[in-house]
Amino acid sequence: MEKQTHIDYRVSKIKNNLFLAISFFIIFVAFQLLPNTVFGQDLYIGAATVDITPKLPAAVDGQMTVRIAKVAETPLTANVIVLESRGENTTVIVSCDLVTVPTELKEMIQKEVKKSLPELDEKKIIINATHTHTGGVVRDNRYNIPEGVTQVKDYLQFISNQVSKTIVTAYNQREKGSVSWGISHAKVAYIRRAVYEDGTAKMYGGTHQANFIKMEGFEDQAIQSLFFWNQKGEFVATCINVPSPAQIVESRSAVNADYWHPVREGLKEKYGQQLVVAGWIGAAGDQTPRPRYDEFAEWRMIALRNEKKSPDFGTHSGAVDFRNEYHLSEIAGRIIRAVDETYETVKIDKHDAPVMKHVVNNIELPMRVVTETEYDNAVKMRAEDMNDPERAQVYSRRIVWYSKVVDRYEIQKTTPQPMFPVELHALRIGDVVICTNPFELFTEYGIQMKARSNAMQTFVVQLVGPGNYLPTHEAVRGGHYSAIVESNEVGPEGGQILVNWSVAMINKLWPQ
Amino acid sequence: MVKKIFKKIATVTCLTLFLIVPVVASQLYIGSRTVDITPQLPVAVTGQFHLRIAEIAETPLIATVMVLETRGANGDLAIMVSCDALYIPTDLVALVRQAVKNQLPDIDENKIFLNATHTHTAPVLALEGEYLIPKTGVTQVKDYRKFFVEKVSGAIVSAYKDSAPGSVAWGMAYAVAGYNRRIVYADGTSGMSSKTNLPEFRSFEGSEDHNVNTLFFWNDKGKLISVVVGVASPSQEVEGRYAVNADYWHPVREGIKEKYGKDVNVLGWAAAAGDITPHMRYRKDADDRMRNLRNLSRTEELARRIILAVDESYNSVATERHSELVFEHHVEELPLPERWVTEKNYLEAKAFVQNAKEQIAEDPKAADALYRMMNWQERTVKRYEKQLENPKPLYPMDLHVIRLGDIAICTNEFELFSDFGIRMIARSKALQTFVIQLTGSSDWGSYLPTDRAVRGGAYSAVIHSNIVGPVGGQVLVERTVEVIDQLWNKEVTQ
Repeated sequence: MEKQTHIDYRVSKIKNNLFLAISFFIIFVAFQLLPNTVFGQDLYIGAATVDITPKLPAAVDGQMTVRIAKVAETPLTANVIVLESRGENTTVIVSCDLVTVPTELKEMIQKEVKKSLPELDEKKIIINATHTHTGGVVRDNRYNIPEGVTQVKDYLQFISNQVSKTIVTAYNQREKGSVSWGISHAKVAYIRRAVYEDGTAKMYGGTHQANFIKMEGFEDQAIQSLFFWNQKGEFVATCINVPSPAQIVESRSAVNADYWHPVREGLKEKYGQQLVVAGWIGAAGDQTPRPRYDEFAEWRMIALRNEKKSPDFGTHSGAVDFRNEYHLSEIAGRIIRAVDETYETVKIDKHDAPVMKHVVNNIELPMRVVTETEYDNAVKMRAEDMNDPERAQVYSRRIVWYSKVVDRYEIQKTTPQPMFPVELHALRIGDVVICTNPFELFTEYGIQMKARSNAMQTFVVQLVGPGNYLPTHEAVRGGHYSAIVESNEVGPEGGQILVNWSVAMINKLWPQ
Repeated sequence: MVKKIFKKIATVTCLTLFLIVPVVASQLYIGSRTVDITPQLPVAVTGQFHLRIAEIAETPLIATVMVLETRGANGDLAIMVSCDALYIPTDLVALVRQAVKNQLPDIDENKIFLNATHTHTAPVLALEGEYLIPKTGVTQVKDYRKFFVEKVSGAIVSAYKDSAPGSVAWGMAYAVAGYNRRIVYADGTSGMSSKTNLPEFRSFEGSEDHNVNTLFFWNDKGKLISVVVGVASPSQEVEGRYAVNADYWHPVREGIKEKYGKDVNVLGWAAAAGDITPHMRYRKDADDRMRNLRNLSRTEELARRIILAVDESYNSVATERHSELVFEHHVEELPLPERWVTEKNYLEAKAFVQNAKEQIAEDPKAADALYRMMNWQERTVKRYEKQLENPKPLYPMDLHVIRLGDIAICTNEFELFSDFGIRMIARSKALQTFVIQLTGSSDWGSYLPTDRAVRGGAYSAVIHSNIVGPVGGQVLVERTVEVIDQLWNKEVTQ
């Protein structure tokens, strides 16, 4: 009886152990099979900055007229951050002090990087422009650039060499690290389209007149940040998402990285020279960093901070020109304070193995259709510029602008609904997502993406690509530059498809 | 008839004098007081359609008085009172003015205005029609109104009697404390405080104004005695509670006092914010995470942002004080065209009222949820019936416009949609324009929506929500800008 009991006991013990072993095995296998949308791998980080200032004199990109810069008031830089979720994904982030990122430039960089790093998926390089209007010309055949001035092809080659070398360096230097994210606010975005009583709108239109009704769209004052630390806990890189283009000094005939230069310098001064600062512009096609109403009140506060004395309000003429150093410093100060505040709050919440997923989709959006009236107008306006040799030189870009509309109309004769190819990225890092588009995207679209996203924070990055305004329905109805057919390859219908597609990409990264 | 003619002649004469008399920079006299207006508990709090009885006061409710005066032949006066209230009924304003007049017979009582911070957790102030408040065991409206009038008028008299030479500075910074709460969908309709995480969400309907305007007042010994803070966001973060609460203004005041001195009087002015809320309308999770990491409540987080803006302005302008300056206070009754009630509006409202009455008759408890809504719609019925006699009804609004040095202060009685405020600010000749909404309201207050809002519909832009519509809103803008222009077009003599 006793023997029997002992045997039963042994059998029971074996059974128990077997049960435990099987349970452990099942749990182990389950963990292995779980997608990395639940558990992430160790995060590896590499970061570096490179100078991309063009050789002077250089033509600068972003206005209708040719401007030749003989001076570089600040350096232009490209800021590279390599992120690897060990064994799973590698993503390269590149932020450039440029007006846009032409497809040609992106492909040159991808090709160069692939030569040195064949194991890297070159499609996972995200290159954005800060939209400075005082960067070197990167769009070929847009301006008549005189001899003796840096030519576009040479400048593109220079950028490509510099950026690709830096990607390789950052990649090779990557080490284990951690990340955090956060949000704060700063008033940097001012809507620049004013609406009038008759329903028309105007970019940079006056707001003081009696027929002023409202600002057309919406402002997003969020400043979102990502912070990266290396294995030693040193703060090595940050991405800062500002929904306003770097265009404070936009009309100068000089090279200037605009507000990103004092932002970078200010952050480096505080956190160390090792810090790499990648500037991301949010959906900001209808925004400017310069106030559009209550200007003198804002100007007085800025002047007071710089000169300890108010400018004379009694003698002011109504207009305030914010394209100056004080305002650069003011806006940079606001962004830095927002970043500081965020850093101080989230530095206790670091993640060293966040879920990381990067998807790239190539889709086609319906192009805005050119009407016969728009075509006739483009033909007429182009002729007026071309028939005057002086204007033909100064306004060479405008001639190209009208010519594109003429060409599009011709194409429509055989392809009534032409499509526009775009590349979209969605990058999940932990609880946040970065989604990109190649446009100067009106802010409302960005807000739609943020509101519908499953991510805790959604960083919308515009101008990851060649750029062009993408206006809302309301803007198209209001008209004027940035919402007319010359300004738009894709219109509001395409904008909505872009939003829906982006939201779908994002939300797939957060399975229910 | 003769009286009418005299009245017209007097008005024209006053306006002409107002236009042609040069203004003189004079010594500013200031006086300020803070007074507790927390009701005796339990009390009915207002701001929702259903009846709420508060058993606790989570924060005190406060009224803050600011007296500005210049003396002599060209002297002028403004008495401004900021109140932790949802609205200030115009008949209550009259009672406060009368109570002050009784004690200070030499002042022009029409130079007094009161504004509400629009907290939804303060007592009912409208004498009738809002809720069926239990007759016993709960503070009655008439008793709270009496208490309110005594407290506020007493504080005004004290502040006025204490007025002494002082100085002022003005500043501006920004804080994200208000979010547009009207959501536009793909079919063109709008919703108030409705969802944004939907495929049909398109945009927010109007603008947001993140400017935080400030005024700082010092006595002649250089001690800061008052701070005015203008924020384009109603204090409604805890709006649904069954409690008395001053909402975000309480931590704002406490934070400012902690930093600048416990005796500092803080006036909260809600700028044009009819379509604005302090609630997040999107990316709430991101904001909540930051707030939780800081271990702050939502009202504390809003206060933190506002106080940072106040600090920034103070640090920039504290050295630029003005003791002798131009000061003028213009008051007029501005007739605004009322929003037209259509026959369809009338019939729908009438049917609703009839149905509600039947429900309440069947079950008196239903009044808790239905009574206010029923009366809200019944006002529309009555307006339509009045329209039959007077097809062009006008709403008489008390308009105050003040010039204080380089800045303008202008009031309105509505929950004014943000775009109207921006129109005034953009077109104003003043360096800074402080717009103050809800300075006296007929009944329980009324929204003043934009054209776009009326087209979009939904609460706050439907007929029952609006005594005055977009047409009247533009009249308000035009007249306010016109008066500001007049104040700035005058010759200034020292």
